[in-house]
Amino acid sequence: MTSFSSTTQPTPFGIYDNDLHFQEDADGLVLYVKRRLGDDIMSVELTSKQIWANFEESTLEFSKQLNSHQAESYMSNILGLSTGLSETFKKNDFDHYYYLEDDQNDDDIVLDLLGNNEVRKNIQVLLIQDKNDPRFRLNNTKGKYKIESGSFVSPKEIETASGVASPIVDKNVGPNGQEQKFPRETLEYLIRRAEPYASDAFVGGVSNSIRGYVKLNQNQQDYNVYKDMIIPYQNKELSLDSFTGLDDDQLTLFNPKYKSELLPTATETKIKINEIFHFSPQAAYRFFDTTSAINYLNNQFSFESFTPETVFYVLPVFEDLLRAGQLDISNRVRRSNYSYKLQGQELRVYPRPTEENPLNLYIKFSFPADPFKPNLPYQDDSIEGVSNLSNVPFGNIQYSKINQMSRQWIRQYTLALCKETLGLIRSKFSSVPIPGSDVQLNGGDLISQGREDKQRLSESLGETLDRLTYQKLLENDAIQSESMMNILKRVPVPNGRAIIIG
Amino acid sequence: MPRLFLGQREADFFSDITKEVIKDIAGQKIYYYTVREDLSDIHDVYEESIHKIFNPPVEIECMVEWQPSEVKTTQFGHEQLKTISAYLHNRDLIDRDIDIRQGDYISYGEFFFEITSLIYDKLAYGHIERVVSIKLNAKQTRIEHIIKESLGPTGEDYLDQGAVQTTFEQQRGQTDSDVRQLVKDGVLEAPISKPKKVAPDGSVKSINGIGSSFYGDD
Repeated sequence: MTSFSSTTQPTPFGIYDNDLHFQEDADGLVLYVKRRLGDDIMSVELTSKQIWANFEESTLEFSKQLNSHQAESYMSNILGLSTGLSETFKKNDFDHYYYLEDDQNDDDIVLDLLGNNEVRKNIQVLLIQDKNDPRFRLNNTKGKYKIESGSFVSPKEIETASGVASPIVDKNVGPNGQEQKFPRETLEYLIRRAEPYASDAFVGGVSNSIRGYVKLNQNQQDYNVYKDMIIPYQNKELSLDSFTGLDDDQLTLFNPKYKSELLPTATETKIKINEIFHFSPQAAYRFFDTTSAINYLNNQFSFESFTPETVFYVLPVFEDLLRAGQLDISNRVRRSNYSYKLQGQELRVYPRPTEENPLNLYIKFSFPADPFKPNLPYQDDSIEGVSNLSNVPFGNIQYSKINQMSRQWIRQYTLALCKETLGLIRSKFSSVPIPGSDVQLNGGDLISQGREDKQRLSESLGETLDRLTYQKLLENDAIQSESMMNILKRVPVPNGRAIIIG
Repeated sequence: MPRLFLGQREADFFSDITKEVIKDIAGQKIYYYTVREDLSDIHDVYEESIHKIFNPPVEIECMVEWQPSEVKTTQFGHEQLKTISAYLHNRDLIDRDIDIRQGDYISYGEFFFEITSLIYDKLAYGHIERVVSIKLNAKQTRIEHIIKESLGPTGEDYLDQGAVQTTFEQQRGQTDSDVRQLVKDGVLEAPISKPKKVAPDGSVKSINGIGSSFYGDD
C-alpha cells in the first residue's frame, strides 16, 4: 500500500501534508476505513487519496468547529484586534523564518559558519522573527546564528548579518495566528460600546467637537445657528456655509484647508449642539464637589494631591455621565441666570440682550460621528481589525496539537465521510449488469449511513462545545460552589470548633 | 446510458464488480473442453468424429442456470436429457484469451454437455462494444463422446474425494486467471489483506463429516 509520505499531493489542500502526526495517522486510517467497510472480504472502491481527502476534511471540520466555538466564547475580546498577516511563511528545521535569493533552493547543501554541510534554509535565517513586527515582511534583515566558543549557541540565537531580506510565503491562508490560545479578558469591547455616550457627555470618546460663537446683538433674541455661527480660526471667522469649491479661500469650516486643521470629520450635515455658554468653560474642578470651597481652591491651585480634603475615586463610566449631567444643570441653574431655547436652526436666548454691546454666546457643537473615521491623529487600525467571524485570525488547528480524544472524533468523522464517498461512487450506477442477472449496489444505504454518522458526530461535538463555553464554565463553577456550600452546611462541626448552646 | 457517463473506467468498474460476484462470492464454475479437430479422427462419410481429442479442461467461473431434466419415453424406454445455460463474463474470457466455440464441451458436476449455441446475452447499457455476458446453451452429451473423469463437485450422495467442494478461495485479482482492471491500472489499491478462504478446519461436522472455517478466521 502506498504510504502517505511517499505520495505526491496526497490531500487536496495539502494543509497537513507536512505534519508528521498527520502523516503517521493517515496510513493507519486507510487500513481502519477499509477494514471497517469490509475490504478484507469484498472490494471497497476507495482510493487512499480519497480517504486522505476525507481525513483532511474531517480535521478541517474539527478545526472549524473548535475555532467557531472559541470565537463564540471570546468574540467580545477579539473584536478590533489586528487580523494579522494573511499568509504563512516557511520555517527551517529550527522553527525560524528564513530567506532565499532568487537562484537558491532551501535544500541546497552549503557550508555553515563552522564549515559543516548544512541545508541552506538552516543557515539563511531572518533577524526579525516576530510576524507582528511591521518590518517582518517588507523590511526584514538577514540574520545568522550566533557562535560562541567555536559552536552555535544552544538554543539557537540570531544576530544581525548585513542586507535586507524577505520571508518566503508558504501558504495564503487568510487571517491566522491566534488559534489555540487562551487569551486574557479585556474590557475593550465594553469601552468601545460606551464611547458614544462618553463623546456626548464630553468625558472621552473619539468624536471631537468644535467651538463657535454667535455675536449677540442688542434687543435681538433669535439667532440662526447655521447662519450666525462663527468659528474662529487663526484670526479668521469661518462659517458653516457649504463649500462650493470655486474659491480655495472660502471662509467656511468645510473648506478642506480649514477642515483638515479644525475637524477632519466635519461633514455638511446637521450639527449637533452640545453646549451653549456665555462664559469661558472651566473643566476640571467641576468634577469635584462644587460645594466644597476647599476643593475648588485646591483644584485651581493644583493642590489636589496634597490635601486630605480631596478624594479621588475610581468610578464607572455611568457615574461620569450622571455627574456630567448634574454639573451641566448646576451650571445652568446655579451659576447662570441666562437661558436659551433651541428649536431647529433657531436659537432664542433669554433674557433679551439689553446691553449695547453684548458678549458673544459660545456654542460647542459637533458633527454626527463617522463610525469608520473617528477623530484620531492616525488611521484607526482597530476599524480594519477583527469585525466578525470571517476575519477572526484563527487559522487551522495544527494536527500535531490535537489530543487523542479529539483525534478519535476525526477518525470517526473520516469514516462517515468515506461511507458517503463510497456511497456516491456506488450510486452512480445503482444497478450493474452482470452475466445472467443484475447486481444492486448499496450506494444509497451508504450515503444515508454516512450522513447520519456525520450529523451525529457533529451534533455530539457541538453539544460538548456548548457545554464548554466560558460562560457555561462560569455557570458550572457557580453551581458547583453552591452545591459545595450546601454540602458543607451539613458537615458536623467538631466540639470545640463551634459555639454550643445547650 | 449516455457515453458521457460510461467510459472505460466505468466499464472496468462493472467488470471488477462482476468478477467479484462471480469469482469471489458465487463460486460457480464449469470446465471447458476444446475439441482438437486436428487430432481427432473424422468419419469420411458423416464428417463427425466418434472419438474426439480434447485439450486439457479450463476452469471458467460463471453463473450457471440449471434447468430441469427433460424426460423422454421412446421405444427403447425412457431417458432424461439435461440442458444447462451458463452465463460467462465476456471480459473475463477476453482477459484469459478463451474463445468459446459452439460444438465444444463443458462439464458441470458429473455431467458433460455439448455446447449447442452461443448468444451475446447482454450489453452494458446498450453499448455494442461492451458485451457483459455470453450465454451458452448446452445439451447433455452421450457419455461415449467424452470419456473424462468428472472434475469439481459432483454431489453430496457420493463418497469419493472431491464430491463436495470443501475449499473455496477468493481470487481478488491475485491469481493468474483473474485480472481486476482498476487495481491493475493503479486506480485502486490492492485489497488490504489476502483473499479469504473457506476450507476444512479439522472438525467433524455436517453430513459429510467436514467442518469448515468461516472466511474471517485465519
